Amino acid sequence: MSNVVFASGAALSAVPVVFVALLSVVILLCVRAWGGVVGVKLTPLVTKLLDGSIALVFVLFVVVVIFRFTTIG
Amino acid sequence: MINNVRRDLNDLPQSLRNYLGVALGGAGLVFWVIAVRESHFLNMNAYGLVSILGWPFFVGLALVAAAFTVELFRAPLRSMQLTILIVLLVLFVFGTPCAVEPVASLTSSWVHAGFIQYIVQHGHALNGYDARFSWPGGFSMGAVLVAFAGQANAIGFLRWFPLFIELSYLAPLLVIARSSGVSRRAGWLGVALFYSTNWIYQDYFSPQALNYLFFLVIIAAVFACWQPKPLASYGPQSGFWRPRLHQNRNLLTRSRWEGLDTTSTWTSAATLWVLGLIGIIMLASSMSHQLTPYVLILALGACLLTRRLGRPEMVLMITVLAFGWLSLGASDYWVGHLNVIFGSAFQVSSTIGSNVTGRLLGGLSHVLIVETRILLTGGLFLLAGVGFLRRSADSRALEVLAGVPFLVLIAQSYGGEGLQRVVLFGLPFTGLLAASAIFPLRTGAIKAILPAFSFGRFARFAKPTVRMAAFVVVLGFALATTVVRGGNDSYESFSKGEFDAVNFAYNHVRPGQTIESVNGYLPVGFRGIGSVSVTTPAQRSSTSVRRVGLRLLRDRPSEIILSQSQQLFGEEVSGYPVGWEASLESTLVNHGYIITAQWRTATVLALTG
Repeated sequence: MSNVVFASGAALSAVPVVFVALLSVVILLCVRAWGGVVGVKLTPLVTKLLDGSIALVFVLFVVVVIFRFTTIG
Repeated sequence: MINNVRRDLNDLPQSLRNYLGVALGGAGLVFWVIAVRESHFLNMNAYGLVSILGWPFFVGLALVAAAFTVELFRAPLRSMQLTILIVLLVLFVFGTPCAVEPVASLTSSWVHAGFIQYIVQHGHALNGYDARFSWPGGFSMGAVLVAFAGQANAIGFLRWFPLFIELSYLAPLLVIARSSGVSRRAGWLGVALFYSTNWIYQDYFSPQALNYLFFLVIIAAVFACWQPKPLASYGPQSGFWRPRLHQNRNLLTRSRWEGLDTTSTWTSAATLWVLGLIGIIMLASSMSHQLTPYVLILALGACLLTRRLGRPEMVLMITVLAFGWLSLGASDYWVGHLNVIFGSAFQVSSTIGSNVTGRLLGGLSHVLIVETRILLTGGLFLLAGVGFLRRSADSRALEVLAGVPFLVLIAQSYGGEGLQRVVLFGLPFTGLLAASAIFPLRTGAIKAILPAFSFGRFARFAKPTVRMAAFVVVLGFALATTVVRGGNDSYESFSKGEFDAVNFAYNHVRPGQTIESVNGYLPVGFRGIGSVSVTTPAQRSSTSVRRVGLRLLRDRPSEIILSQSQQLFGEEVSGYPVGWEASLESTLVNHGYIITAQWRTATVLALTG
């Protein structure tokens, strides 16, 4: 990683957030796909919670990625 | 005459007819070997590869096309024979340059070998050197292969790589053809058309060639796993447009977006394993190429909307992986100059200009090659349009997949190469649609727009005409592709002398010094990454010879390489006078340079003192 990345403290602190959000979305998507393929019956509440979590973390991911682009791009 | 030929074929004993296709293919292979042995690389002129291919090549190609047509019309179809004939077609179109040219073509493939060499030596990519190093996955894999094979470098992989990777595409292409909902004959013809029309030189030793394989494997797995559920019926509808519009009602329903309008053809366990593998391929793709992951987002989204993808998670997965790598792993590339990525967004007319009209320059031979490329691609899309109108189907996935890569052009011009790349990403599907113009499927919930074509009282000519159409299309496209794919080979391919000259220069340059060439058409960059600079004064093809000379004298590089490929590029594209390199060489010799080594096709000059 070049030194320029560290020119912005905010952008630097966003790095772990991007990574954790990415990892969280991937794990949640894997769980959803696994449940769908295997045919796990989820209650409507659990389904909504799962889909809501994916949407929330995905939006967080998008926001932080855009923040990094606009801050240090 | 056609009837006579048909009668003669029917009169052949059954055992002979069984072997007719393979025999014709075998004869074609013999002609290919003769053509390769008789071609002389150094005789190549401004028209490129085709200028050194003699008549045996064209006879052999015609025999292979004829053999393929014979097999294509057999009942039942024989997969083994058809596969062998497609392999022969690939050998003709993609294997010929590998066999004829003494070393690998295209400077970029040599630079990629240099990147791999750097990783082999240092164990990591070099930051701040080149944008391609921000997506180092493919190079890292190359470094592992080099070490695993006990090679000193990746140069041994370069020359035959185009043939190898094109043959690797065959397996996923066959799966796509078989699962795409077209007839079996259209599927085989579609695969042949993919190879017959793929003039886009993206199969050289590069991450994009590898990522194209990833792309095809993912789409093939999706097509094989999920089939569309029958469309909901809305009762009898009158008119032409009304039933078609009603069929699209479900496009925006939740079940469509959740992938519930598909049925899985695999067991749960098999689906899970394949999903896992696709996830790993997506991860590899997102860190090894700048464009493929984004085309995958579009392609998987298209599959979801056209009822060919049952797991919408895949679309989100590739989205987060692609943008995640861009944000974290590739920050070295975009930090401080984000406009390189997003600067050309929504400038479609400028993108088309840089992709099409910007290439129509240079001498007659170059313009002719570029115009033929445009005509070839236009002809294929025209045929695909006819296929779209003639075919019935259960899903319009092929049409959407052929068109959706073009959306990339809205966001990126990709350095003037975007249009070629998006045509390539749509090519497997365009090929199948074009094949459907000849073998349209007439069954399916989505009815054909054109009625079935009838020969009327000329019905006896129907079969021979369709046979002839298939033969002409495969042969015509394959011939045109051979001409235009190798159309730039006069300056994009290199002689052994040029390779030796570059090696000589590397052997005599010290770390920190510079090697210069006039326009960069050299097998250069495979050594000394990060320690030896390789530059070219003619950054644009319009730079005049005089300006090039002045720049070389101002830069005073340690080594200057003049070569045949650079000379031909200057004459054909930059419009330099014939023999310009000789006068430039005299100028350099008169200003402190001496000729340190010379081959028939290359000269190395070094600074005295």
